[in-house]
Amino acid sequence: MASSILQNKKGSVVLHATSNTTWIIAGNNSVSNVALTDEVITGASIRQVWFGSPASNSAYWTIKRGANTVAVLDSTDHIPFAAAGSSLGSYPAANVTVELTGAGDNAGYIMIELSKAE
Amino acid sequence: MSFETLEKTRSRAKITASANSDLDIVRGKYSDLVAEDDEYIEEVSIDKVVVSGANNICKIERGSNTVAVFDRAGVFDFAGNGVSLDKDSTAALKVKFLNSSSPGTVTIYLKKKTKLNLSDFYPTELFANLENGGIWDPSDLTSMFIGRNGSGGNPGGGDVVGMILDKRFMGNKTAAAFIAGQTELVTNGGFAADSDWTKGVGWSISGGAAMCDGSQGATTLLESDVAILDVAVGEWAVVTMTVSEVLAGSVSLIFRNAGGYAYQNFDAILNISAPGTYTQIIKKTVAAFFDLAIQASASFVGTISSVSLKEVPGNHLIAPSDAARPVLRDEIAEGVNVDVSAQPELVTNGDFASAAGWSTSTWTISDGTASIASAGAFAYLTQDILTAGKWYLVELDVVSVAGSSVRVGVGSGTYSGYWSTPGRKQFLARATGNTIFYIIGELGVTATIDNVSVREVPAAAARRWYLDFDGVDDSFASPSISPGVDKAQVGAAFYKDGTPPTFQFIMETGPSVPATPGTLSLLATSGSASPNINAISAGLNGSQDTAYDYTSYPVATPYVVSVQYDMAGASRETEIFGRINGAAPATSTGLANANAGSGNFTDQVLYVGARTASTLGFNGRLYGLVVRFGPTLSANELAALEAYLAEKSGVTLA
Repeated sequence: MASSILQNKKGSVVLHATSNTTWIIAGNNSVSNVALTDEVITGASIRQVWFGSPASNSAYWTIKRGANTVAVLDSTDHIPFAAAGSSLGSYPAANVTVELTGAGDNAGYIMIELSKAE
Repeated sequence: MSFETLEKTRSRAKITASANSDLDIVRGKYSDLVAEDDEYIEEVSIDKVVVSGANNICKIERGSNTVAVFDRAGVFDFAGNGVSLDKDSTAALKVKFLNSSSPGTVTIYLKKKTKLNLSDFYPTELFANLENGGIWDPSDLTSMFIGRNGSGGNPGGGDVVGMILDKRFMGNKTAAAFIAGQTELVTNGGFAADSDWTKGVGWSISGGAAMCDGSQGATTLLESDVAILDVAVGEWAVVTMTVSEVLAGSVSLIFRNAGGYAYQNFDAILNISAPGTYTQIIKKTVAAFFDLAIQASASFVGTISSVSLKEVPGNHLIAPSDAARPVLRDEIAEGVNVDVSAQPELVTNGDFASAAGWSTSTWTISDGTASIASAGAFAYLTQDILTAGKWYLVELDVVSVAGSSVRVGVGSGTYSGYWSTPGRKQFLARATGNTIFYIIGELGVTATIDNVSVREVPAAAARRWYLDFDGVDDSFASPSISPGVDKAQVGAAFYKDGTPPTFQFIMETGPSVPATPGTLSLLATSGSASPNINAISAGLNGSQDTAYDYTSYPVATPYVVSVQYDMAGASRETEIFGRINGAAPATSTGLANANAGSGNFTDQVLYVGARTASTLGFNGRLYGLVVRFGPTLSANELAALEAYLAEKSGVTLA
């Protein structure tokens, strides 16, 4: 599986990918990829992200909300937005898309924790 | 595998690698690298990764999936930030270094989830959601009865078995312990007071018993005033009546219709004319109101001290006839797997070099033997060396014996047969009663003995019980089982005795798998040229069956076989998934159709040991059988089931 939804709980969810992936955020369980059966998601902000990609290929991850780029991440790291005082909350209702540039599938990974809002 | 363990605690482990490494997590025991001896690993998630070394690019995979990639040194803490990296957490863990010239080191902090503990696992855990099926365990002697209606008592080695209870609702208890804990459905069944019973002519209640004085002149009832409504149609119950005295006539325990004496399709305890405790397992087959009554014959004079009725849920198996009852045996009695050579000798001066250690009554110890001449009474030679409840192998030479016989006792409650001929004798038994080892000269015997040995049978070898099916007619059948699902699993531990002439059914649902929709079977052999084990499943269209032959699995070897059936699968490969002795079969040959269609398994009788409990019988030993209709088992659940069956049969899993 190139993408997974891990630890999907009331109010939060963890997304994992090793290739280009889009998750639908807003809506109820029949629409949204991250809504539980009793959730109707209106938006989600990025609390933290772990990522890795082979720097030797100048590879990097791009996180988009809808068509809007909100983060570009190269090398390997962990960025705790929420712990640093501000979640990455732009375009909260838009889908979350991750794209790996400069490397093939499974040559990198990204794991994102979202805070869900209803 | 080139991981190295740095730390290991009950819930966590820290491992490190400096070269490409993998850690197999498929099996429940997982790996010594992360599991404690008694741990059964369900899954392992990654809490933290520490990467060191210049130009170190490495990847962590779980199974065939990438879960993390690192292109620089650093500490990457997942759990410390509230999120474990638990993707594919039941899959094998691998580290691959992509820069082989400078691999560096990766240290992985793991969190273990240990749902199951092998030492505690019992397959009842697989039925936690009330899945249909059953667990039949010949090693629980209290779960079996000699009579086909639950009568005759529990069997011992060499006894036939007419009924074996399904234990899937019994937890990790013996059937006897489970039944003891069930709710008593008879009010005042111990006759503690003169109440709750309607006394017919001749009956009275006092002193904790019910008595009938013979004055009745015709059959007379002692009728429970409390209707026994708690037993649902289709449910089973164990009924027991203790008759403490019979001076004349006979007495029965019956189940009555509201207005009559009909048995209501129950079996009952009938025409008892001797004191004793009488038990039967009965099944309620009609919905009508019923109650329980003790019925005395016209001439009965006697005393009843208790009556009991308790539910025993499950799909209990019954032999189709007395002649078709398999025989309960244990490996020890059959001389299989009894090796006490590494066990310490418990007897002091077993060669009678001196009398030290022995307590004697009439026996004479001299010249390296123990002798007795014309014993005027029972003569004892003893040592206090046993532990109650443990199994021992006793061996001694009867050098000479005349006039009567010699025997031994393992505790005061377990004695050998009478030995009246010279030779090396063996007796294997569990110590009961007390902790004394006895050598007994019977009244009038003249005998000499030597080289006495008592060694404890290792717990691992004590003692594997099995049902010995004759391959002719020995078999069982259950009531109709209603699966209501499209997935099933069968686990069996068995041993094929001889060259099979044809098909041999370990189990089958319905009368004929290839022809009956929604059925499944497991065969010890399908009669093919190569020794094989065979699994078949049939779909909604009766002719749409699919099957696997697994070869080569010859006779005279024990096997643990697990098969997962999935009618929802689109192909044979996804509909029948078999493992033998903990691994994929050596050779799998697909038979019949490419798949069995779809639909649920249908309501069928479960037959064990023969098709329709009448033909194509299994010739061999059945150590345990688990049939489950429910979701496909996880790898760990499957491994635990196999480990359970391996323990029953002595199979070493791959």
